[in-house]
Amino acid sequence: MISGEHLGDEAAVYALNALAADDKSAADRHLAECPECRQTVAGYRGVADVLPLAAPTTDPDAGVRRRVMAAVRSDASAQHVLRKNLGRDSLSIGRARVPRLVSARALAAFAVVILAAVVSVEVRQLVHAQRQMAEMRSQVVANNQIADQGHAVMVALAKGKYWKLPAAEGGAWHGAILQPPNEKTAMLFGMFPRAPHGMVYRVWVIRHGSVHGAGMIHGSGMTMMHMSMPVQSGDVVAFTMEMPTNSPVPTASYMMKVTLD
Amino acid sequence: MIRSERSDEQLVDALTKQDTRALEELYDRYKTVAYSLAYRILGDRGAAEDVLQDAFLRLWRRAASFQGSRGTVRGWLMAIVHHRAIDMLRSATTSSSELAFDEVPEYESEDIPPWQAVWDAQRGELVRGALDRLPLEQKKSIELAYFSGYTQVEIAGLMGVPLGTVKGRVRMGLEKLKNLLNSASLGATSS
Repeated sequence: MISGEHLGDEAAVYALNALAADDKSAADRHLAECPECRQTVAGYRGVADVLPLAAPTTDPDAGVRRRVMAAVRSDASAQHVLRKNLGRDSLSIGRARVPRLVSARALAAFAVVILAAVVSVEVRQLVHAQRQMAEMRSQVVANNQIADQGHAVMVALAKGKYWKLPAAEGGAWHGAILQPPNEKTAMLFGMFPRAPHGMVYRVWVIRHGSVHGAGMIHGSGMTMMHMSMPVQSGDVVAFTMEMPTNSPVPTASYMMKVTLD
Repeated sequence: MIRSERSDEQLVDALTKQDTRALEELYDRYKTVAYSLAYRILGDRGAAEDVLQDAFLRLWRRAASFQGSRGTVRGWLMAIVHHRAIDMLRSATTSSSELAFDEVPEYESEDIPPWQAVWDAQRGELVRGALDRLPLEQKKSIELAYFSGYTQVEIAGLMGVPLGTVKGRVRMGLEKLKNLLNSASLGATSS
């Protein structure tokens, strides 16, 4: 946009969050000064707000609710302890700063030092306890995830199909594909390397010459991902490392291909 | 026992008092539409779940900044999900743009009925129908911008048209969509 002019058609693009950073900064500056354009943008945003409804309805896994609530409870607990500690700390300081008897100044000063030391120890203990509590909660969440993974493995081993992926060159990681009869196909890895900053690993299924995106691997070490499609014998499972886009085809060359027996 | 439904605004107010039950209610109310949006943008379940988790954590932590006079809770949450998902799509950096509340759409609040899922499904059909009635190039421009996270300059390059054409298509598309939705009693906007 040209400085000083109204946004015009760009107001609609702004409402869709489709301006490049520089253009958005310029538009933000203009909007701060122009109620007319703010009103125009608000109108377009009202339309943009219903666009999420156009997305095909898909439900998240139940595990997401558990993760969200575990994180929120941990957060709430941390804030509670923090407020409690801040309250005690300021109370103690308040008392220390208002000694009532001038003749007892030395004694009061000594008491302040002792009190501060006691409070300091108490605060440290509480913070330590809080950290332990948060770690335990994280551990419980992690254990739940491991239990879920373990369950998936057992079901697949008992009733479904299982493909072991050969170790990558140098044996840096290994993995397996588990396909239970009535559940989503899962891919498990051990010692999976972390992707370089700004890059992700993507998984592809090549079937009869057609390439299908099957998911992104976000974790590292021992990790698991659900594939977006079931696999079958004869499929080629391939891996790329690339920028995170929703491109339907690989944007980098394959790092590894495995043909499923 | 039938429990009375708390409004979105009451639930957000409860969040500021550290009521975790309120967040559970909001999650159950909006998980599907929020997740569907994230999944539509990212095309990956794991990434969409990360966005969903992040959005509800932000709602929890920043509930005190919500101002009912400036928009709906639902609009705020959807804006958080959209920004976060587009951030993730445009770059893999862990930092993300914070969404201030004054970036939330300003329009009248609407009553969200308790039968949210059914209501949303019906509205979804209407919105998809309205989008399908737009001229193809307008629909494509809106979808590339909103769901695929392309900037107007990138869209111009992809579609092989001048930048001004993209701006015009987006504006005309949104205006037509607004009229179609208003005629379907969806009340897309108040302005």
